[in-house]
Amino acid sequence: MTESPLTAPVVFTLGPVPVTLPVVTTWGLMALLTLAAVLATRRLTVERPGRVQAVLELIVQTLQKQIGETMQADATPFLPLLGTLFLYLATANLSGLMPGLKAPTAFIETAAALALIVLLGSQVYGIRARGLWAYLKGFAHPTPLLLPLNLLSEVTRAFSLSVRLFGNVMSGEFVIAIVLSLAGLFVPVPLMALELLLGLVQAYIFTILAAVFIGGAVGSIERG
Amino acid sequence: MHVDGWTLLLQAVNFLILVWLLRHFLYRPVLAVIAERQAATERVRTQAEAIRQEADGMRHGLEDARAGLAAERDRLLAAARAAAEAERAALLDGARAEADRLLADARARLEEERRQALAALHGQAAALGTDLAGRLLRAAGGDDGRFLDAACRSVEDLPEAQRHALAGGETPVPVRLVTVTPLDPAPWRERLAAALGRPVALEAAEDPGLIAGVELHFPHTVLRHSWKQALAEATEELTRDDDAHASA
Repeated sequence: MTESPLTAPVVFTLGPVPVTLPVVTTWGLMALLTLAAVLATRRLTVERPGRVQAVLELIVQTLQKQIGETMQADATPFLPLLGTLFLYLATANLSGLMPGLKAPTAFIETAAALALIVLLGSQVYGIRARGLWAYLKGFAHPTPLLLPLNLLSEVTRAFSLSVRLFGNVMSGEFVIAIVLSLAGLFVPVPLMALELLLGLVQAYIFTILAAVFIGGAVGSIERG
Repeated sequence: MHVDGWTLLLQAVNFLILVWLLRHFLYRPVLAVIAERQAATERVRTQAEAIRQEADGMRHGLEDARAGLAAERDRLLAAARAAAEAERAALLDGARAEADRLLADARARLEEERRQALAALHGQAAALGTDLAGRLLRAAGGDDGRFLDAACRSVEDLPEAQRHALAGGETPVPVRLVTVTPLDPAPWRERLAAALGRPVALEAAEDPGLIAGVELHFPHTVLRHSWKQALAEATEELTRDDDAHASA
């Protein structure tokens, strides 16, 4: 019996810990993003920003603005988490287009890990912003009868977040792989362009939904 | 579908590490630069605002100063006008007073000169009249005897006390008889003694200046009956009338 293509292949093991392909790919992306950040922020100036610095500031400010507009609050405390979420998702989604690489987000573990972080992050931010009791009372709003549904919705929201991301990226890669195996080298190029767009859109959707969830938790926007 | 727990955990840890790395190497420096630039921009804007406010203050100050200058100029002009007007009025009053005074002086002087000229004219007219009358009377000639007779009658008409006073208490009474032409004193001595009621020691003398008539010089009194005396009295009366008219 062949292994499911949805199962993350183990690259190597560290004692009892199997290190799978999405983890290794993620390490590579982490190294790439960190190296790019270090190189790009080496010579930041206030008076005469260069082209790279201008692009960098544009990216950071755009992220800050989008998050702020979504959460209807100051985005600075949430920028590291949500901004990194977008950058990682964008690079991870697009990494699947590179020959020999497979997007980490095409595996359910990566999407679930990110959704779990968003779920836990929204709880932490909500408790820090509103206090434990007030935050917990929010689950019984507008009536205690809705408490089970509200608790369930927290979990299902994270679940849907992860499944949406996983399903889109995974299906895109599958389609490209199937078309590639059937039609040849250049036929899947339009599909790859579409996948490029889809990867960015999924990164944007995941990040915006995470911002909405965290905003609902801290009370800056109405809980969805 | 199998979910690998280790992969899930490692991916979550990886992502959290990436969050820390990007926060340290990307967001913090970029946000710091942006904040610093915004602070610099705000600083420049604040400075520009301060400069603008300072300029506004200076402009307002200048406008106030200009308004003050205009008001001061108007005030000074009004004061200068008032002073000039007062000075002009004072000068006009002074000039008017001086002109009035000069006019009054001129009028007084003119009046005085006129009065003096009139008096001189009257004096000359009187002198000329008396001179003319004297000449005419002298040319016509006079009868000294008639004048002497009239003088004797006036002595006779005097009361006794005054006749006694004329005599001066002397006997014979020394009388000096002055005439224009020589007269025989004998008859007139008798006539005069009869008029006085006492003997008379008569001394005859001549004076053509009398024009016509006689003068009786008693010890203390002179009795004049002559044209000279009449003309002198007329001249004096004319002159006195002129003075009275002039002073009126």
